[in-house]
Amino acid sequence: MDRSVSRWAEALGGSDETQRRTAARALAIGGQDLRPAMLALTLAAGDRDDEVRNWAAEALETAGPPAAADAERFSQLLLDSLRSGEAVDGESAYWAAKLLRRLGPEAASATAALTRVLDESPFLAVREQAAAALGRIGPAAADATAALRRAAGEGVPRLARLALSALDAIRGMAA
Amino acid sequence: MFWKRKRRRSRTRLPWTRFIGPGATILGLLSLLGFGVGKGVDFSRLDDVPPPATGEDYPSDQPSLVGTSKLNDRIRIASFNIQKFGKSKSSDVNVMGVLATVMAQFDVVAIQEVLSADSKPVQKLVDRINAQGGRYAWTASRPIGRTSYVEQYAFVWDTTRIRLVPESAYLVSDPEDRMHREPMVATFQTIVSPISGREGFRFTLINVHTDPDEVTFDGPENELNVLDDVYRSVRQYEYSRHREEDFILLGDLNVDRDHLYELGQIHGIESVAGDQPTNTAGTKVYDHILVDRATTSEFTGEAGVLEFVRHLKLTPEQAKLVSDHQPVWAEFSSYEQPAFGSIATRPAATAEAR
Repeated sequence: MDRSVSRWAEALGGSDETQRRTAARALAIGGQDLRPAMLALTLAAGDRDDEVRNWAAEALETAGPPAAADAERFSQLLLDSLRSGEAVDGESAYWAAKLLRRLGPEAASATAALTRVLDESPFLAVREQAAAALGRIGPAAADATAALRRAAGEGVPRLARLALSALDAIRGMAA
Repeated sequence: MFWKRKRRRSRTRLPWTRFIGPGATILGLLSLLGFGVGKGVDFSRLDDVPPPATGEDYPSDQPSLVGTSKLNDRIRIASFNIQKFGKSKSSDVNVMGVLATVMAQFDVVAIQEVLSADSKPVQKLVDRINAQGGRYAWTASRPIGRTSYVEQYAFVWDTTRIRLVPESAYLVSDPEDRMHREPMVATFQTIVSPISGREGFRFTLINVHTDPDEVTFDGPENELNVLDDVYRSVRQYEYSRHREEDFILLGDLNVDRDHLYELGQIHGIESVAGDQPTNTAGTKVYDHILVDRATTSEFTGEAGVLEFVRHLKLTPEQAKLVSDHQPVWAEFSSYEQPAFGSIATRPAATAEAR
């Protein structure tokens, strides 16, 4: 554990599978502040290797919110996930939306990206996290109102609940 | 990358049976290999847990894992999140040695975070215990989760002391998608000597692993505000079908006992392992065994956390490789006792010995 979080984050992006596994595991069990590695971990959560993917998810699960300054980068990652050819894996998009959700109102700049994935992502779990993130942003996510109403009307139970809850939060009626 | 999509029909009313669905998943695989009956571990003295017999860097002076002082008049139930228990961890002989030692201290263990569609890590673990004199068995759920990252629940138990009630293991049905990982339920009964003239303690375990992002706020989406409904639904279902009275919800809830929300408000429910940290770093309480003290009078009042460093003599670095969680346990009488009775007292160590 003598390498810094940033060095492990760099290793996560490398081509050597063993190094990526080592880095993901080190970050997951190391107990460090993972904010410098969160974007790399989010991409690693969609790695083609199961072990890298699982340890990256483990690290992110208890990592807390990312740095507010990274909201734009997670927004871009979400938008990249909508490109054809799946340049960004659905699992990475899921974690990007989830981390933005943890940021709460500080993720207001991500409203447009979250709204687009809510409307367009082929992955239900990503759309649900986007709806939840918009709810946490609150009134500043007012531009997402129409998309949230559409999601609420789709008849998918959890997505509908999260969308309705987000609409309440945007109207300032959250519990 | 594979990703499952969930599209489910909406329902406006939720019957009490909404969480029940034995048909949803039952992956029962029994491993009844092995031989030799341990006499057990003295449950009151965790300091005496034998260290793991594994690699040269680990404590290794114990040839047999299976308990030397388990008592016939009481059992010990545990919950253990074996962080990312998949192919890699189950290939590590040192870690598997520690895990086998842990399992051998208990009569039933509810496991969370198994990462293998074929349950091989659990099978290997049970094989390891049995190769060293145990007669343990296991059952596991199907993999569950909302994305391509999925986990299994499992139960591992000592077949010389406990039996799984046939067809009793299932994942709760969750058509409204209220939980990231719907709990796994299974009913067990202790095996007691016919000459005792008493019935074995029969109990239903509800094995839970919450999503940490879904337990930190108040509101209907908080999984702890769903789990109280799950608990009541399972209780009503099992009571109506089998007159089952004893329900123990256990697992990694990702909160301490002051933040159990509606789950903690069920009348009589108590997190019996207390405020002792359950993570390996010794800083947080995440894992619980919830007992209804009003109905489960078999609970002896003894419970705690098996600490890797203190009880198994591992170094902190070795401990971290085993899991970021430590097992929590609680002790119960081996004999069925009337509900609403007094709390079981700890019988004398020599009583009812076979």
